[in-house]
Amino acid sequence: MPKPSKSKKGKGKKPPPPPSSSSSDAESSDSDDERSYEDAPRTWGDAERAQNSEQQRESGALQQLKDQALDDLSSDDEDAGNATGRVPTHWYEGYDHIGYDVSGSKVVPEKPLDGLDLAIEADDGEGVTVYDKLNGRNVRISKRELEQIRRLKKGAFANPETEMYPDTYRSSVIETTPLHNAPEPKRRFIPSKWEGMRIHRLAQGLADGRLRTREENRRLRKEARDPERRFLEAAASMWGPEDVEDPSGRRKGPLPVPAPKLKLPGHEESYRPPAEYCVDDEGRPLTEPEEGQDFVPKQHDSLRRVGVYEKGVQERFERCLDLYLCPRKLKRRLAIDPESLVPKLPDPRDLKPFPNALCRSFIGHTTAVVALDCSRDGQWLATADDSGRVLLWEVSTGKLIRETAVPGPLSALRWNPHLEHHVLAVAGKEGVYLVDTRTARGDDREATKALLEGEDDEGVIEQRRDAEVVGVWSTLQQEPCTIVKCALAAPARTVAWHARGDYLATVSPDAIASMQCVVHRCSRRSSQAPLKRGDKGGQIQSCVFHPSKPFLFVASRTTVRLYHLARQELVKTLRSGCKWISCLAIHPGGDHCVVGSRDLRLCWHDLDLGEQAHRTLKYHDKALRAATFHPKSSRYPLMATCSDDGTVQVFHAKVFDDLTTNPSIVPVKRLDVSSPKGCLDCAFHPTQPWLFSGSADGSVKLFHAL
Amino acid sequence: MEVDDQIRVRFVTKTQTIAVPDTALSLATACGRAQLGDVVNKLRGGSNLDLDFLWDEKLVQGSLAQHAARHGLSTENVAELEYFERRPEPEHAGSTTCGDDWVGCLSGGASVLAGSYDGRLFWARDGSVAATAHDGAVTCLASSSSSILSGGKDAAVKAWRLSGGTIKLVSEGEHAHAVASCSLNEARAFTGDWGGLVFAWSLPPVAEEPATKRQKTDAWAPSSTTKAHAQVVSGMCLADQQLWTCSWDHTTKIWDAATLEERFSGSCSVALNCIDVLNETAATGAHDGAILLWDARCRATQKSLRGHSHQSVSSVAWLSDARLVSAGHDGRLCVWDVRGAATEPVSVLSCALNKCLCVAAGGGALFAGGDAPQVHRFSAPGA
Repeated sequence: MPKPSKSKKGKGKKPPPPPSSSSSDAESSDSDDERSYEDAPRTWGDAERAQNSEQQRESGALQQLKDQALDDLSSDDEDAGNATGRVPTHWYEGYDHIGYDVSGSKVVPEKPLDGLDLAIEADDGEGVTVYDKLNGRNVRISKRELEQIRRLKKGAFANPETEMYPDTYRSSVIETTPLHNAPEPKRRFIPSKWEGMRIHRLAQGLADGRLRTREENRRLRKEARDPERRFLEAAASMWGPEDVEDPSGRRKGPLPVPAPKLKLPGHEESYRPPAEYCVDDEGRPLTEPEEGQDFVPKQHDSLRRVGVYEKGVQERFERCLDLYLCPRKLKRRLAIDPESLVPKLPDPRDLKPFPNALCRSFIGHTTAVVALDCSRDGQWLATADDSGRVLLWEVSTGKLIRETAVPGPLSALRWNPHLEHHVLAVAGKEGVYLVDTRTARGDDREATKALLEGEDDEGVIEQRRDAEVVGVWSTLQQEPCTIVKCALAAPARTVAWHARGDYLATVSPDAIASMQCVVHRCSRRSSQAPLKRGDKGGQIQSCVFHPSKPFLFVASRTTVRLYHLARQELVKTLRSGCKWISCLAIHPGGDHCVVGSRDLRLCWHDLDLGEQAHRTLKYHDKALRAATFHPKSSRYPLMATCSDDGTVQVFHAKVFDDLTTNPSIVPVKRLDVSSPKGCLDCAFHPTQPWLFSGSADGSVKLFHAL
Repeated sequence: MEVDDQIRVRFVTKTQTIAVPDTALSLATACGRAQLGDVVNKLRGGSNLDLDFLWDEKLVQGSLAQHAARHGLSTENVAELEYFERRPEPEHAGSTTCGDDWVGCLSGGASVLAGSYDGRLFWARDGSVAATAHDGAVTCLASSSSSILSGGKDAAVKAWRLSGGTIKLVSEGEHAHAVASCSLNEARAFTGDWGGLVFAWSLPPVAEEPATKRQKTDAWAPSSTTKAHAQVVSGMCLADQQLWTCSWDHTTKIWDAATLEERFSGSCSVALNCIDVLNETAATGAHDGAILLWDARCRATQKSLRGHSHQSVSSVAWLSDARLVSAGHDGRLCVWDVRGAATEPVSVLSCALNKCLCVAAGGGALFAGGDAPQVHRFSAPGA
């Protein structure tokens, strides 16, 4: 009886995959179209076998079989028919024999069973007939032999009767007193974690497309063999994009780097370029040649007249060098919408009213308008130019009402904030002047007169070099309007009123350190210098009174210091980071201030927050000259800055009452004063959303809100 | 516009002398005012009249189709077109020189006075000096049949009596701020100032022989005072025991003239410069170039007319019950028909001024002054 191992070898059957990994199981591509042992009917189940062996034990047949099995061990491989050794069987193709046996006689193969015979064989259920190709025989494999083959493949004992552990007591009867009393382990009742993981992995693989079911494999193989489909795929890969993403999203290895692209040939490289690409009779190109073009386009009548391209080899070589020597850097482009980076600001149309259109011009100045201010009731506008003229205008019509001459070039002008005091403070070269505007009516005349009355100081400042004398007061003229002068040691640059209209602060940056900031009391005609040591941050540039508290803001070149006037101490220092502060403005609420600088910046400071600027804005192209808030900030939350670039920038600067909300600063309008020399001062109308601007070319303009 | 677009119209009029039979006619919708006028003149058969037409109470400017599209009217129904004789457009009739400073205000009425920025009052007809009234600019003038009221930048209020061809000062009062507006009738006068206050004064009765010396020494005290506005009372007009005021604080208010109690307050979004009232409809000139129409009965802004190219409207005056004239800082005088389009003045008068500061109608003529020492006169029949 032939051995199954032999038959198996003769069949040349590929060993089935090890059953350890089910993932490989799923991948394995078993060919079902061949008959195999696997597919033989398996009627020899475990339970059946146990039952069978029990029956055999009882009948004594088991012992007999054991003897038989011992007999199995006796080898009879020697009487195998064909003894061709390692000669391949296909050498005998075309002959009627397939080899020679040990005796040297030809081995003539039997005819393999045809389909009908096989069907009859398979029908009896007692075994299968396979064809032994090596020996050319039909071999009948019984049911028991099939079982033995199956067991050998599993690595078990070949004979099903073999007891591996003969001493083990086995019984199908459940004893009342079991051998051990261990409780059923928990794992019997819960789903297996490892199996769960495996199932998950398989399911994941199927979902991702990493694994495929057998049916799918079969379908794909079938499709892959389809010639039409193969052609279409090849065509698609030829014309498709080069860097197609892996559909599964998993790419192994580095990213494919596309080769640098060659410039495609243009019309001028055609063998017959259009006439405009060619040269004229004198050899000049008719059109401007492209950059890098190092040949002269030439027209050929036909393609076969085109000569050899001399530089062909050289260019191919350089291209090859390019392809493998040139470093290919992977540039990652950020796919960010630039609009999304811009902070969301409200639409200026929702923030109306703000000054946005020219309303009227005030014509009368011939030199630069250095300062302007509007009276508290909004009826008059005062402007000062650097030749010493102070002009008074009617706001509603733009009519020049009066002109007053004040000595010296002027630098600043402020209207007294008190409603009853119709007085202008004008900073000039020799000091500060208080000018009666003659707009007082009724009882205001007396109040204004009282403010400007007083006794003149004796002597002049040159004679009294005494350090304690800060300002020398005198009445310059009485008619037609009263002008009171307070002579200072150095030219005054800025002037600021206290909200009550009695105190006045001036800044003279060129004076000695202790005299740079001077506070005057007009009703008593007294002056004092509160800062004995000047400011550490350089020359004092500007100073402003706090609108409601006894504070004085003093801006030096780099810092703003806040002094308590009653306690005479430093309260706070604001560092904006500007290199040269040029202007300073306090929000009417008193909790915020802005600092404009010559280095184009505008810093918004929240006095409750630290010393650093809350926001820094940069909207001008040249140095800032002035910054101002609308006096009625609750109704018109507006701020404006003017600059040497000839523009006025209007901001909507809303300050909220609750301390947690940051002020919203929105640039709403850039007003072009159309003065090439720059805009020197700007001021808001006290009750309307209107803005006045004064320029270096002498124009004064009013912008209103539309 | 297609030629075969037809509309059936019926012509009606309130003037019986120019009436035509009210049979419905079929006309092309492309017809404008001129063509409609031709049709009516042919129907009448008399002399050719220049006619204006109202369709649904609105003035027809442009073609009937445009009018229907603008006002959402149907061209399928019979359109009832009311026609009336068109008033001739005002024409420039010369100017008079008044001093050498700007003319800031004009008083309406039969004999028109001009107030100059140098403080003098001039007769607008011939340019002669009527009086030296104020120290500083004259800001407002108002006139009744026998009295003139003037206010100035010097906060003084002066009442003048018209007698023959002269005026005589009868009373002199003072505000605490510059006076911005005034208005008067036969018995009472009102003035508004830059502090937002409105003063009511009682005019002295017409005496046969006013003792000028004594009255000058007497201080003329206001009979009542009220804080009317938050900002300057820029315009006021007295009409039928109601005092209308407008202000830069964006409000228009109606006051009871006898008690100075507030009757109505309406607000808009711009500063208002001037006001004139006729038949309970007030026209206010705004700082952004709009003319807002207020109706006392429905107490709201009715319409806004925009023709001054965003330049401040400094003065408005009613000519008749539907027509008004406005002066703007763009140097133009616009004549409006309030039944017409809101952006299209009926006519624009040019008077060689950079800024028109005041306009007044009186005695069949229209007067305008501005940033030049001239008062320009326009013929305006019926004004």
